[in-house]
Amino acid sequence: MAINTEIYGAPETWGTSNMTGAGFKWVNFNATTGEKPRLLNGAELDKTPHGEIIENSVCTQALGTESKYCHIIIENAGELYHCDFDYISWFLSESDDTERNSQNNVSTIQLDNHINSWKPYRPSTYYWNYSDYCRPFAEWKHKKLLFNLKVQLRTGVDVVSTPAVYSIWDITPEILAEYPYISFAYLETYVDNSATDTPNRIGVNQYSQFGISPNVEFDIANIENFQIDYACFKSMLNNAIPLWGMNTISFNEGSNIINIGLCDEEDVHIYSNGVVCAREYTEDFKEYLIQQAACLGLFVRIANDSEIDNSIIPLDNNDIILGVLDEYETGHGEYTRGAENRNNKIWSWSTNRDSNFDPYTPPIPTDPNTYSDTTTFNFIGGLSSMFKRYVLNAAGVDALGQQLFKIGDDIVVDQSDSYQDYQEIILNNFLTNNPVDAIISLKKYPLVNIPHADTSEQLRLGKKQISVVGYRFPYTNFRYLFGAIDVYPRFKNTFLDYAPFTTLEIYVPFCGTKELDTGIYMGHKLSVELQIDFTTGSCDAYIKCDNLVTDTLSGQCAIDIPVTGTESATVDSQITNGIIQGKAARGKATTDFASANFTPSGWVKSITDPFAAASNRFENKLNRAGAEYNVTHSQTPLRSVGTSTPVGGWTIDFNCRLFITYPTGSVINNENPPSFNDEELKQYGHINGFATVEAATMANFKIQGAPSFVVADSINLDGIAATETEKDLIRAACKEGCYI
Amino acid sequence: MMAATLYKTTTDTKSIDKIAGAEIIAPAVDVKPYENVSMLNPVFVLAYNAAYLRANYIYVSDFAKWYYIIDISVDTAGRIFIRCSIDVRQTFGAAFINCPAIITRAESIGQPTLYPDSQLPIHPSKNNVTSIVLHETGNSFSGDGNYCYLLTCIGGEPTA
Repeated sequence: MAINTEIYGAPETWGTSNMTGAGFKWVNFNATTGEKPRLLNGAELDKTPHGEIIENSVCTQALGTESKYCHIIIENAGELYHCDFDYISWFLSESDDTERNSQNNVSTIQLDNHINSWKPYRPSTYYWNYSDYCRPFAEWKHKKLLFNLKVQLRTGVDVVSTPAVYSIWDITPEILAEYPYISFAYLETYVDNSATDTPNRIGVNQYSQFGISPNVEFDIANIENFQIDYACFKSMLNNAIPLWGMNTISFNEGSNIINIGLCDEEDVHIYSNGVVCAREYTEDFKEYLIQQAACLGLFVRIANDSEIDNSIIPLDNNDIILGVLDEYETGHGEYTRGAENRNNKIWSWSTNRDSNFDPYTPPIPTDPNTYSDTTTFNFIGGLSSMFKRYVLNAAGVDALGQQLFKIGDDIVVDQSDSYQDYQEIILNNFLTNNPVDAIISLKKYPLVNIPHADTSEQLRLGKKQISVVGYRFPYTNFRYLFGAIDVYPRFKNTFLDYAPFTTLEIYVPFCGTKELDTGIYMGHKLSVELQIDFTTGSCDAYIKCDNLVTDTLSGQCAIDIPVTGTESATVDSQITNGIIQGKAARGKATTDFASANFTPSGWVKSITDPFAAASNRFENKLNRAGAEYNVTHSQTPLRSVGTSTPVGGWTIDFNCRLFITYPTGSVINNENPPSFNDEELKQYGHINGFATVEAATMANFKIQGAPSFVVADSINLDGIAATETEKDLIRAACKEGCYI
Repeated sequence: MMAATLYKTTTDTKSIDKIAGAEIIAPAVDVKPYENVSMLNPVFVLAYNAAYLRANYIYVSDFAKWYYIIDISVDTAGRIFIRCSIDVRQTFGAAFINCPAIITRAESIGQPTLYPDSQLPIHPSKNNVTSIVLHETGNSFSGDGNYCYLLTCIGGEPTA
C-alpha cells in the first residue's frame, strides 16, 4: 500500500509518543447543518514495538455502488439524510479508557497478537463517549479474521416483536415460520487465536469491538483536519459489522441520538425508542446479504456443510467465501468460495498493506483494447477432396458436350461377346450411371486464364476417362488486386474535401457500387481486392484504407452453363430389353449377338436376326415387327445439369473505379497562398472568412502580401498594455473580425 | 497643447493598418482637449483650417493612440471640434494578433479548415463527378478469356 505523504505527512514528522490525556475530542456529526465529525488536535503517532515507522494507509479498498455502505441513510430527529461513501477503513473500538494509557491491556494484546504485530495505529478518534476510542488499523492480517454472517429475526415487523439471532446457515424453515422477519444483519468477527487454536470472537470478555468506518481520512501531518465522514458503526450488538438494518448510535454529551441505516428507504421505520426496520426474510435476501459481505473483501462463513469445528476450519473450506476486489481494488459483491478462494488475490495478501488501493490517487482506467491497423486474410483449404475440377478452354467445352452425347460409339461388342460381356463393358465405362451425373457444374469466369496446374490431363467423369483434355484446378479461392490510389484532398483538406461537399463512391466489377465515407479515405491510400470463390462463383470485394479493410461488397462473377447429355443408363436398359424380346421371339436360349457393333443398326440386327432364323410363322412375324419397332423408335433420353445465370455484370467495365463528386467552382489553385479560382468564393472569404476552429494566433492566418480577414472568438490579452475597457473593445473587435 | 496627425483613410474600419495608403492631411497639428476628455472618446479643439475638415482619422502622439473621427463641428469662433473614438485595432493590433486565441473564421484556406461553413455559397447544382480508375494489376479480367471454364465433377479414382 502506498504511503501517501500528502495525506499522512512525511515520516519524519510522525511522533513517537503515545497519545495521552483527554484533550482530544471531536465534533459530532451535525445532521442539521451537515457538519462532519472531525478530530481536534492532540494526537500523536506511534511506531511498532520494533521501532519501524508505521505505514499508515488504512484504506484497503473502494466500495462499488453495489455496497449498501455507499448509500447510508441517517435519521436524526425524524428527518432522513443520505450519505454516500467510496471506501472503507477498519478500526478498533475500545470501551476501556485505560487502554490508551497502557500498552499491556489484556484485551488489546490478545487482539494484537492475532491480528497484527503491534498495537493499532494511533491516533484514535473520540467516539461514543469519553471512554470510548476508535483507532484505525495500520496493518492487519486478513487470514486472521473470519466473519460469521448473522441475522436478527423477529416474529413481527415492529419493535416489540421478539428477536432471535441466528447464523444464516442455521436458519431452517421451522425457524422462519416462527421468526419470518429480519431486522438486522451483520458480520460477527472471530479472531484466529493461534495460542489456543480456538477462534476468539471479538468482544467476548473484551471491551474491544471491530467496526467499520467509511471514508476515513487520516491526515497525520495536519491532524486538525482529521475527519470522519461518518461515525463508525457500532451496533446494538457487540462486535458486529452491520450489513443491513438500522442502528441506533448515541453520541456523547447527552442524548444526541442518531440512527444509521443500511436499509432501503422504503424499509425505514422509525420508532420512538429506537429504530427497527423489519422485512421478510427470503433466500434471495440471504444471497443479497452474502454479496454485501463480499463487497468488503472478507472471509465469511456462510454454511455449515461440514462437521469441522470453528477452530480449525480452513479458509478454503466450502463453507467460506471471500469477497473479490476488481483491478481497482473495488468490491462489487462478487466472491469466491471454498477452493476458489486460493485463486482470489486477497488470499495472497499477508496484510492489508498488500492492497494497492490509495483513496487519494484513484486508479486511472487504462484502455484495455489492443488496436490493429491491418487486416489479414486466411487460406482456405481442404474443400476439394470430394470433387475434381478442370480448367477448360472453349474447344474443350465443345468436345465435352460431344462426348456426353457419344454413347456406344466407343463401345465395341463382338459377335462372340456374351451378354455378360456386354454388361461388363457398360459397367466399366459409366458406373451404370449417366456420365452427365458425374458433372456437378460448369462455370465460365471473367478471367483471361483461371490459374491451374502446369500439366494437362484427360478428363475423367466418374470411371470414364474421356478424350477431352484439361488442367486440374487445385485452389478454393483467389484474390485479385485492383490496385491502390491516393485519395487526394483536392481542396487542401478543407471541409470541402468531406461530405456533403465531396462524396466518394466505389464501383467494383461484378459487385456493384457503394458510397464510401470521405472521413475515412480522404488523404489515405485506397485499394480494392477482389476475392473469387471458385466453388460457388461468388466474389467479395475488400476495400481497404491503407492496410485495413473498411468496406466490403459482394457479388457473383461466374456464369453457370447448363450441361446436357444422354441418360445412357436408360438407353442401356432399352437396348437390353429389346434384345431379350428378340431372343424370346426366336426361342433361342443362347445370348450371343449377331451384331458387329453397338450401333442402332446393330441393335436392330441383333434383334431381328433371331426372328429371321425363326419359322416364318405369322405370330413370329408380328413379334419381330413389334420388337423391331420398339427398339428403332426408342427415344434417347437427355438430361441437363446446372442452370443459366445472367451475364449482365460482364457487359460493363471490368475496371474498378472511384467516383468523386465535388463542388464545381470551388477548385483551389496551387498559388501561394492558395485561393479559390471562383471569384465569388474569393470575395466571400475576404469579407466573411471561412469557418474553422483552431487554437492559434491571428497572425498565423495572415496571407502574405494582402490584408487577410480573421475572426477570433476568444483571445488571451496577457501582455497587452491596455486598460480593461480597451481590452473589452479589443475582444469585441476580434469577434467582429480584423483585416491583418 | 498636444500634437496630432490628421489622416484621410479609405481602409475598412476592421483593418489593423489603416495608414498604408492613407493621405496625411496634417502631419503635426496642435490640438487641445475640449473640457475633460477621456482617452477612449476624446473631443479635441483645434484652429480652423478648411483642409482639416477632410480628415477622418487622427493620431494623438501624447496618448499614443489612434482614433476614428466620428464627427467634426465648427463654431462661430472659428474653432474645429473633432469628436473621436478609439481605434483599438490600429492602436493595439500589432500586439494582439500575436496573442493566443481561438480562430473561428479566416480568409486563409491553407490551414486545415475542417469545419463546414453553412454560409458558403456552394450550390448542389454546381457539382461535378469524375472518377479514378484502379487498374487491376495483372490484367486478369476478360469477357472472353482463354482457359476460363471450370468444370467440377465428382471425385474419386477408378479401381480398374
